[in-house]
Amino acid sequence: MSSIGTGYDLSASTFSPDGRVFQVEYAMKAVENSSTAIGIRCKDGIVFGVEKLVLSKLYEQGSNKRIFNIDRHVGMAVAGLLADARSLAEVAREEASNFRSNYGHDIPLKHLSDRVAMYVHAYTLYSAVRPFGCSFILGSYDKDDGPQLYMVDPSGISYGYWGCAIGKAKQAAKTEIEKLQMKDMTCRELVKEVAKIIYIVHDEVKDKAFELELSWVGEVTNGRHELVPKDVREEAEKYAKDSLEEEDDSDEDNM
Amino acid sequence: MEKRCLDSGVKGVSTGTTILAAIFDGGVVIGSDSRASIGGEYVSSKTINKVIQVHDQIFCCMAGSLADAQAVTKAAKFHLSLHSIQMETPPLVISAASVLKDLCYKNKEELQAGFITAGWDTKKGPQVYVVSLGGMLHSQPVTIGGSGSTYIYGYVDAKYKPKMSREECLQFATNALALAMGRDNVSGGVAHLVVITETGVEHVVVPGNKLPKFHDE
Repeated sequence: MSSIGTGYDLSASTFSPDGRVFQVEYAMKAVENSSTAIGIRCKDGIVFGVEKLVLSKLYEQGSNKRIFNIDRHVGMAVAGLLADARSLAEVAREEASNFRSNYGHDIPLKHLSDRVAMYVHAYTLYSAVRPFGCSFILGSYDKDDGPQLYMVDPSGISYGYWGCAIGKAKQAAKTEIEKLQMKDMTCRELVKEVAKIIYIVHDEVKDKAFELELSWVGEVTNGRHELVPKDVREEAEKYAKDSLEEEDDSDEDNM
Repeated sequence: MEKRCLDSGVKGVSTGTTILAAIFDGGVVIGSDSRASIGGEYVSSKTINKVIQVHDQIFCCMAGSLADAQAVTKAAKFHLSLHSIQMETPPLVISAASVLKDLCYKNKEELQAGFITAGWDTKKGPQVYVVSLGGMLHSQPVTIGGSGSTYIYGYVDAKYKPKMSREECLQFATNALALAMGRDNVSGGVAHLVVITETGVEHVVVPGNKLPKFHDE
C-alpha cells in the first residue's frame, strides 16, 4: 500500500532520495486513522460536523469534544491525535488573544490560520521533535469579511476552502460535499446536510456507536461560534436518519 | 529657573502644544500648532511638524516630550508597516492606536508622551482615538490635547457638531487652533491640518498671519 522509507524515515530532518519527508507523511497517516470531521462554508456562516466514535458505553455524553472555541468568532474541528490537537487549540487561542491585545480587534481567520500553520510547520524541521499528528479545520464569521474556512495539515500548509473533510472517510465525505450548492445555502439548511453527510460516511460495520458533534458560526449566531442548539441538532439528525432510510428503500425498489 | 524645574519634574504636565482631531461627515481632520519650546521661555522651533503619518491613511499628533513622542511614533510606524504587509490589508485605525497604547503603557515609567490618532479605514470609516500619558486608549468624535487645549475646551464643546461638512470642520479646527495659539504662550507658529477621507489625504497649512483673528487682536 504505502512505500517503506527504510532509513530515511527516522527523523523529520531527513529527506528521502525522492524528495519526501516520511515523518510528515506518517503524521498524515495518523490523521487518516481518526474518525471524520467536516467543515462547510455557506453564504452566511460555517457549519462543522464531527463523527465522534464512542468507544465505551461508560463515556459521559458530550465529553471528549472534537470541536473547540478558539475565540468568540472562531471555531476549530480536529482529526488525528487528540492530545496534539488540544495543544494546538491552546496555541491558536493564545495567538488570537495576543492579536486582540496588540491590535484592538478580532483576528482575521487567514492570519490566524497562517500563524498556527507556521507553528505546525516548525515541528517538521527538527529531529528532536516529531510533527503534530493532527489536521484541523478553522472557521469564522465576521460581518464585514463574511464566513471563512481554512484547513491546516501536519505539514504546515493551510488552504482556504468552501468545504473540506479530514479523517478516515474524507474521500467519501468530499464526494458528498461536492454535490452541495453551498454558496446558495443558509446555515440552517446546511446543518441538516452536514449531519446527513456524517451519517452517510459512518461505517456501521467497522465502527459501532457514534455521537454527532455539530457546531456553527454565522449570521444565525450573531458571529459567535457555538455548539448547535439541541432542537436544531435533533432536527438535523432526524433529517439525516430519514434520508438514509429513503436511500435504503429506493435500493430495495430497484431490486 | 525654579518654575522650569518644577514643570519638567512633575509627571503628567503637558509641554507646549495644541493638538486636536475631529470627525466630520465622510472623514476626519487632525491638526496641531508648530511651536517647540524649552522651559516655556525659548522657542526652539517655529515650524516643527507634530502631525506624523504612521500609515497611508492614519496620522497621529504628538504631545508631551517631543523626543519621547518621536521615538514612539517611529517604532509604531515600523510595527504597523510590518503588520499591514502580514495582513495583506491596510491596518485599522484602532490597530494603530493600540500599537501606540502598548508602547506608552508598557514604558510608562520612562516616557512622557501622549497621542491623538486619527484616520480612515474600510471597516469603521473615520475615527479618532486618544492615547493619554499612562497608556489609556479611548475613542471620541472630537478631542483636543496639549497645554493650549485648556483654553479652548469651551469653544470646542460649544461649536463642535457631529456630521459637519468638510469646510465647516476645517474652519472649526482652524478657529480652535488659532484661539489656543492666541492665549497659550507655548503654542504658536503655523497651523498644520490634515484632512483624511476615503479617497486620500490632504495637507492644509495656515501660516500665522493668515489665521482667523478674534476681537482681542
